Amino acid sequence: MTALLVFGILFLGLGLSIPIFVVLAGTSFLVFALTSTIPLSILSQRAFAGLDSFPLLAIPFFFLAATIMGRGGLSRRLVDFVQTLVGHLPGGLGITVVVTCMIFGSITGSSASTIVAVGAILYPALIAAGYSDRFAIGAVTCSALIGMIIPPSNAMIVYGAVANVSIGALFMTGIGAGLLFTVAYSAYCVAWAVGNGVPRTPRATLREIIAAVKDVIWGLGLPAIILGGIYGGVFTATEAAAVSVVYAAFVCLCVYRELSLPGLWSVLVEAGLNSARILILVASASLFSWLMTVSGVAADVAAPMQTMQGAPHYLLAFVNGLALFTGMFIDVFSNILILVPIIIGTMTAAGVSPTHLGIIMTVNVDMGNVTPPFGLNLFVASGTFDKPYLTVVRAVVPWLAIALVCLAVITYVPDITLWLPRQLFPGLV
Amino acid sequence: MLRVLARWGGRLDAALSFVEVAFVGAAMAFCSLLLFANVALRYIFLAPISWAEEITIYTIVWVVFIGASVIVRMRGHLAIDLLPRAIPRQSQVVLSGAVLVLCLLFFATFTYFSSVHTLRVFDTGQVTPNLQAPMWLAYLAMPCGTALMFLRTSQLLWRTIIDGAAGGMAKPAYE
Repeated sequence: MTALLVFGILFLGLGLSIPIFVVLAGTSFLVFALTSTIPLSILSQRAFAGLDSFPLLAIPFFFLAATIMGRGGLSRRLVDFVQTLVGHLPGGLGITVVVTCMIFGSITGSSASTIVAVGAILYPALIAAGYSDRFAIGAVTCSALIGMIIPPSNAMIVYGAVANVSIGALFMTGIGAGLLFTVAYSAYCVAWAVGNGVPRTPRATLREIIAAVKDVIWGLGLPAIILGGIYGGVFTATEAAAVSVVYAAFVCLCVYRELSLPGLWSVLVEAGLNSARILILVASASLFSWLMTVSGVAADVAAPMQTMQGAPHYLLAFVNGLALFTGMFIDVFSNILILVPIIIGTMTAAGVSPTHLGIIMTVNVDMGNVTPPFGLNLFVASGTFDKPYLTVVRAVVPWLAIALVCLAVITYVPDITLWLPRQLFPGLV
Repeated sequence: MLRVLARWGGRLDAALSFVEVAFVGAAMAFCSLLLFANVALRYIFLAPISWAEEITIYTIVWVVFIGASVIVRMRGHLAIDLLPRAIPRQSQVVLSGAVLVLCLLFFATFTYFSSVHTLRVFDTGQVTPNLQAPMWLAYLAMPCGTALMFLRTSQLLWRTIIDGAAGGMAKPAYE
């Protein structure tokens, strides 16, 4: 009964286009007021508790570092660098998109910023090189997904905070999964270019490669600091984020000299507002998640999963289907914050490692960014490339199909993602 | 009368927006430098700042609630805007009004109950673990932020009623 009330209000609110954070928190207030005697001021305490976490703080600083780097001239240097390495292969420019998105993802934890930064440069280049509009839009929109799987990943930070799993170990699972996506997408680029007769370009000379490396090396220092620092135990993920902010500001102000002090100020404000947009959702989603637990709705939803306890394969398929379905309607962070507390108990009892579940959920919610009707990246791409929403939806279909295959591989071949964290964090995974 | 009100409202709005945005930018700069200094002090001088984490968390909580108010004014919060895209312009204005009124109700409720909570913490004199700073200062971000969001939402509602502006809380994304 309560479940009907909760989901009724939730879907009504979302459908009316009320902001998601208002819907999640508002539903909690309404349901508690109608069905329980808990004093409602406790609810504000729960929303606050959702933010009161040091690991979550990595999000604003990774946002900031990525915005500084994106604005400070890294994206163009990165594209040039990747182009000299893979541009001459069949489908070379397509592969450039995929690989640039992967490397750009090692600096930013979100995929929307990758579409804007990489797409603005590579979309016109793809069209000029003879790729179809549909291929170009799909390539940029979906390759940006890799950015959220490759560490640092904001989705993993939120998952780690909810499931109480080492964020360092989660980040490491992202490397195997991200590489799998990169290989699969690059293979599709080759096949498409060969099938459609896209002309190839000459190989870059050694001199050009050296020049491109010299230009980009400062930017590539950033992932080195983040990964090396976290795995060397020098600092936590949050501190790594703050260090990368100072490093990014230094590189863009003093080395690349493409960012001015007023420019830095506007970047600070932009990253602060972007973090507020995400973290206010985190606060109200943790309140909503508490409602689900306290009101027993979580137990009702998890009940059918209990029957699959003995068959982890079906259970994993069910969780993938569920997360993909909810991802069609809600954003990445709400999806993790609401689903994970419901499913994690059943999953670990069935023998799925919480770290493995972390990468599965990250890929799922990330794909939710490009699944219609509500996929944030679809709207971002529609705006960036100035194309109708439905054109973008049609363009992502083949890429989404490949992503589904990758998701299945990640789900059923855990070694691909878990091998690296097992080596680096023995005993944790 | 209405025109005078609108002019003063415009000035107040500009001043408030300036303060909000300045706070968000300054707080981001402050927190980044503080955490960076903490790492540097720990490794170079072996003397970390014990309260750095704590003060960063609570400063970012303030950034979130003040920033959310700026985003309300920009109609930038995440929402599923399929319905407004599918209906004619005249109905969009009606929907926009309905959404804004529901949001006003929510912000008023949240401001009230988070104020109650903040006052209770003020009375108990709870302090933060490391800095021993009064905890109500951190909780205060919620009533302040949601009260500002209430104000920003009423501005949007005003524009919907006076100018027939559509859009509700979410920008008609990338049109």
